[in-house]
Amino acid sequence: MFHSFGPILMQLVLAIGFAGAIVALTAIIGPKKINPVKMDSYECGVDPFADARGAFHVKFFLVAVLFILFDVEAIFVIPWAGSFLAFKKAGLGLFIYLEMAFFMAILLAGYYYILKKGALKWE
Amino acid sequence: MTEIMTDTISTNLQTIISTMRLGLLAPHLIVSMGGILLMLVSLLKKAAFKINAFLAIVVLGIASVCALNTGSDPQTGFNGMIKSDMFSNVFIWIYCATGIFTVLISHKYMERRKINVPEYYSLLLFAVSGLMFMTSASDLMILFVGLEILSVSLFVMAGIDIHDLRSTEAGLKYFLMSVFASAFLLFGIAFVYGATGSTEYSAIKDFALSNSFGRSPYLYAGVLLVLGGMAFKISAVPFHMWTPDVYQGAPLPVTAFLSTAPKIASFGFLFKFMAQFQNVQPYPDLLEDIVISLAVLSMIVGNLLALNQEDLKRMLAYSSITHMGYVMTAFASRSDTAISAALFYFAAYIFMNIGIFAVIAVISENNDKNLTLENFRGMAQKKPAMAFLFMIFLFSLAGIPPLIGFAAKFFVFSAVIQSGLYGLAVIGILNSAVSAYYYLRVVINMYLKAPEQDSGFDLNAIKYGMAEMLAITSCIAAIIILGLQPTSLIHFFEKIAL
Repeated sequence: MFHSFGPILMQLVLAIGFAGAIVALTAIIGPKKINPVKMDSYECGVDPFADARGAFHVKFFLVAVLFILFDVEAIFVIPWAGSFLAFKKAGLGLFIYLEMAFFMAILLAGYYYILKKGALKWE
Repeated sequence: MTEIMTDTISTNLQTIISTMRLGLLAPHLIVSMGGILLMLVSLLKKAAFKINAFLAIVVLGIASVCALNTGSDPQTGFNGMIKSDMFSNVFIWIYCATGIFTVLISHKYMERRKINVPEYYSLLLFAVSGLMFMTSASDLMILFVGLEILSVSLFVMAGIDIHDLRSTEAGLKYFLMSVFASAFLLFGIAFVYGATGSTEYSAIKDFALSNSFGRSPYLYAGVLLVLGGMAFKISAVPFHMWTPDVYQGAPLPVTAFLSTAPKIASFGFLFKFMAQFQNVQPYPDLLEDIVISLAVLSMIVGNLLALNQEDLKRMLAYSSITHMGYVMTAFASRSDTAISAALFYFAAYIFMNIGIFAVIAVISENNDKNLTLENFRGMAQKKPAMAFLFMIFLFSLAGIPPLIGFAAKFFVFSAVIQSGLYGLAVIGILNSAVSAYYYLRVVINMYLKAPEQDSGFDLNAIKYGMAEMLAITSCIAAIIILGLQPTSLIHFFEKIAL
């Protein structure tokens, strides 16, 4: 049963080998001239001014969780859109349409709930 | 060429869609739709808690009636992902009954403790729908989805008392442990899929039969991991560490639900899943040994740890570990008699456990977090009726003859003996005798000890609620009637084949 994993193993070896080789080559043949400007934060970066591991307000998490919940719907919607025509050809157009309508109704019930509960109000 | 391809796709789609038989999922859909409905009802400011309690009972009642509709013949649907038969129907009834009892004992308790969040009932319904999917599944993916619906609802329910540190701790602890167990389970499912190329039970069965289980180390590893993940949910030793803390911290009605339905569902899944390997020759020894050691450890360790508990809820947590150990012995004996005995045990366990938690919910006016065995001293003098009911539940849990607990243990151990596992039956019976000690300790405190003067716990303050009394009396009636007449129920269960 192992022969079917052969390509994966080959890809793994290639990926590790290539990455390792690049890092090794840079370390060996790259010029090493260190000056203060070079070691500074890059143009688009900002000098760190505090510890990043501080406490965040719980509202951030609430919004993040709600965002994930409603973002995951794309997992259903995109394959649905992709296979819609195949269903339509099979004469199941109404069925597949109603499936999504039903899914959206459940999603909207949840959205109405969080809206009414004020989960999206920041103040 | 493309014409032919679209034609095959079309026929494939039509065949797949034709297996979508919504009738098989009627109870599941009713309960989950009910959950959404209750969620929206919760938005009403006034009396939503009361309306939801009523609606939850109605929804669960309708769902249990709908389970009758699918009939007793096994039917598969949804491209082989759902299998509905008498076995899954029995479990649906068990879940609905547990749900209804939980609603009955929740209402007054939650109001008294000011945690009357209307969403609680919505979560309960979602949990019940997850349970139903777990035992109706005939595909590991559906099982996992059902388990997650259940678990996510239970995390919130366990931690619903946000002003109480213990409850929050219980929620968090249950969350972490459950996620850990789910990882085990999912890892196991991945191995099973890797070995057999399918997550469907029947395909896994075909693979195991044709390749003689033991020759596929991946299937072996996968099944063991699935077993381990489920042992967490059942809280079989050595996967039991979370149980006492969660039981102690969670609000009482949630503990009542937590200690019954999810464990029964996990066992239901295990019975259904492991039945696929029933005819594998030779049956893998290691698997058998592991199940037997889970059973023996659960019985012995659960009992030993319960002996010294002063806190009533912790004691019941350890005793529930022991009870699941008894069911595990039935699971280890792999026979049809054992399955019917286990089903009977589940029915008995629900009445005993829900009943005893209902009594405790009534007794614990405000301070159930530290409900010690000492608090019950002299209860028979102050509240004779309540003490008597409490005693019957304790006797039934201990397995004293005319009650259902005895009949349940009798059926389980006789099934174990029939399968030739004499040692396991002896250990079980000895443990059952040991367990009488800690149940009777409460009875002795209630009847033979003088009431404590300054315990800070006023037994006279106990007030009965109508709903709670309804739950308690129906549990008592079931315990006594089914204890005296267990034959009709066990005959009904014997007809159920997997």
